[in-house]
Amino acid sequence: MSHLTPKIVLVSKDGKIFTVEKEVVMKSVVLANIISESLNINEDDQDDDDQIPQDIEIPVSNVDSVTLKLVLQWLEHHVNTDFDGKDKEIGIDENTTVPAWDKNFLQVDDSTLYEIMLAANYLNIKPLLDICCKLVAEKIKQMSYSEIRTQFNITKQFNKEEAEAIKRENEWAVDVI
Amino acid sequence: INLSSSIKPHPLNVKPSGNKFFLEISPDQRYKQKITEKRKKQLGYLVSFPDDLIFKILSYVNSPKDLLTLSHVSKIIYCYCSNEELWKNIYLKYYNSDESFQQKFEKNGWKGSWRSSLLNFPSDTHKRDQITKFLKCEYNLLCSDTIFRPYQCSQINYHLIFEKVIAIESLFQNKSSSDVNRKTTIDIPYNQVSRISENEMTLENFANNWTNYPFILVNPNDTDRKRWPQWEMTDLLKRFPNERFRQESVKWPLDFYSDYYRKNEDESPLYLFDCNSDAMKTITKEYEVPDCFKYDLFQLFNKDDIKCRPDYRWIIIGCKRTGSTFHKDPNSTSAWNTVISGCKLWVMLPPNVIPPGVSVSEDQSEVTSPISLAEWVLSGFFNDILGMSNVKENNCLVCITFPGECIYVPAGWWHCVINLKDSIALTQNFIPKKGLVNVFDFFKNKKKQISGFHFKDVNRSIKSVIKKNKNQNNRRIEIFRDYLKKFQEIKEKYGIDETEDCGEQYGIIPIPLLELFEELLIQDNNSKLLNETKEELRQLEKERYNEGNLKVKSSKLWDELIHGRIENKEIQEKDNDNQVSNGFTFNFDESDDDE
Repeated sequence: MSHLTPKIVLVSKDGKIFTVEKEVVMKSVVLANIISESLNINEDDQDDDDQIPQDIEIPVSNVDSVTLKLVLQWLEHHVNTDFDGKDKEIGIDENTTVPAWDKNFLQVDDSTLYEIMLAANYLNIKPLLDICCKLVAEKIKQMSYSEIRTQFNITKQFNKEEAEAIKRENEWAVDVI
Repeated sequence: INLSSSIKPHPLNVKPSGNKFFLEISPDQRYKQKITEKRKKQLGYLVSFPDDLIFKILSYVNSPKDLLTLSHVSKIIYCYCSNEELWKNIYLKYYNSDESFQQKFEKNGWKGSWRSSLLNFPSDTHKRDQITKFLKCEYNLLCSDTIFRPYQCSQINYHLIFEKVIAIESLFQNKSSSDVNRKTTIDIPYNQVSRISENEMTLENFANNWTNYPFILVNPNDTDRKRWPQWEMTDLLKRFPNERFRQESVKWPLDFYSDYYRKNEDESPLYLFDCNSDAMKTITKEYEVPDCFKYDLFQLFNKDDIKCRPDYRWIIIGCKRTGSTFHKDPNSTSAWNTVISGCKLWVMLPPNVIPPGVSVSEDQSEVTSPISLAEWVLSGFFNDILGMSNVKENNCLVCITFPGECIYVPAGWWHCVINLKDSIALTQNFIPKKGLVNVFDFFKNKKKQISGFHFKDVNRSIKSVIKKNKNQNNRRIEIFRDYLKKFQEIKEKYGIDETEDCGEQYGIIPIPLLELFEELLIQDNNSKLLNETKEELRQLEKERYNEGNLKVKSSKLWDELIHGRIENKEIQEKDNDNQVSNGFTFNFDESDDDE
């Protein structure tokens, strides 16, 4: 290809602008599709190889700037990580552990973590989503039910009959693994 | 078929996603606010999460105790956690990890659902429901298709949906189609599968006329039903209560499976498909294969000291709602299937017609059926089939088989089966004479899709074949030797699991199955058939190539790759003349016709 690759300009919900290289955002299926569509359109329009291509501006209206910044940081760190290739150690499924860097990076407060998850879901970044889900699941393992309620900020109290039902279920689950 | 139906409400009062709109358009602001607040209180941060994201998180909670604790956090989360798939996955994970868990689960017994079985709840479901009913969601609090749709599918009433088809097919039950049509005229709104008396279907008739088209064998005069066994589940339970059969990913003893069979909430219940149990060894002696199907060329792979034939005889037991989504039988074999008790609905399509509701990869090696059977029917695809069935050229067939009826499924035909009642059936895969060319084609051109062979047995058989062959300079023997040598090298270098199905290991080293088949035919004094079949295959490939040629359009990408960006119009024009210049050779070695 004889032309420079265009930059990607992301605009967050609150209007902040983030300019990144194309490779960084390719793990987001949504953004990758938009970019390849734009490039196709641009190509068709171009007659002259030497014309400098325009930057591609993409509004990311569901994600605020704080979250978007974090997501981009994660993407930049992992720009060369191959998540579903031969490097199976990094592939995230049930049996793999979360890499240390990611664990550290995602040591944020709960609401931020959930915002990141929603952003990863919206932008369809599967590896990030898998890692976050795994972290949340690991957190709530070993927690009592009141700790989980705090974790998720659940405030509804049970009435008498509901509480009784829960108590009975716990009694029935004899010798549970 | 009429797809509208009413079902009981979801036990936890979960509604379909569409009900969300009732909330949005509700004029009662206070009610709206109340529900919204309730949801926020019960879900916290998760309230803005879409359903599938919540399920994703739940799927990573992989111990029963933790999932139980999580389910007690709020009523809405209790409903999310009631999804049986979550519990089923954990159950299977533990079951398949260690025998101690298998024993534990079997000792605990089946309690009516994956959740209650894994948690070892008390068996009295009615009593349980009386207590847990307080954890139900109020009206429209939780509207989620991810929970509701599988429930709706599990409540499907096939008897009601397929009423008409059942009524029509019942008129033909165990009678020959020609007899029935002679006596009465019935308006049949679909393409039926012909029923033919077993006496009339001689081997000759079958071999000459019916190898590539489905039919059903009946015995109209067998009023005592002596032709086929008459087992019900209770009969088999009496005989083999503790025998382990294979049910997909588990191997439960039959009495455990029968508890599951009787009460489960699965959209696609586990299906018992067994060929290797000890019980099966007894069972195979208790029925007689129809005469027309006895000629089976695959037997050569299971004769004397050649013992590498893939599994081919099964007993199939499934409660109502079980079945198979669209597929073609493996290795391009044909099959017969007899219902022993219960009844099955069949939909069949010829090899080149893609079934509606299913997506198939280009070489038809991968079939994606994202939808369960019930979903497939409820989404209207069965009605599409009926539409296709009206056009005779489509050769789209629908039928129901009843006890004692034996249906023939030709090689390569798409078929999907639904058990309308709890059913028991026997089935076998085989290669009829005229079907050999399809298998040759498959072994030669679709190596990726071969399955059911194991390196250990195949290699042993190949060695035996080499020994038996008098002409040691035969081209095939050379291929075998090369293969065995290469196999040994790879095994020493990388290690190979010799007992695993070769289909899982394609790419390691292709097995010379076609050559093996050829050699077996020759050693069975059947060179004539071999040569005829090879000629047929040549013709088939020639036709396929010609058809392919006519459909070739010039590809821009191909041109670019070969010639770089086409900036020079001259080159472009020249190329249009040399459309199919890259040669295609058949790789037929004429010295094959030997002995």
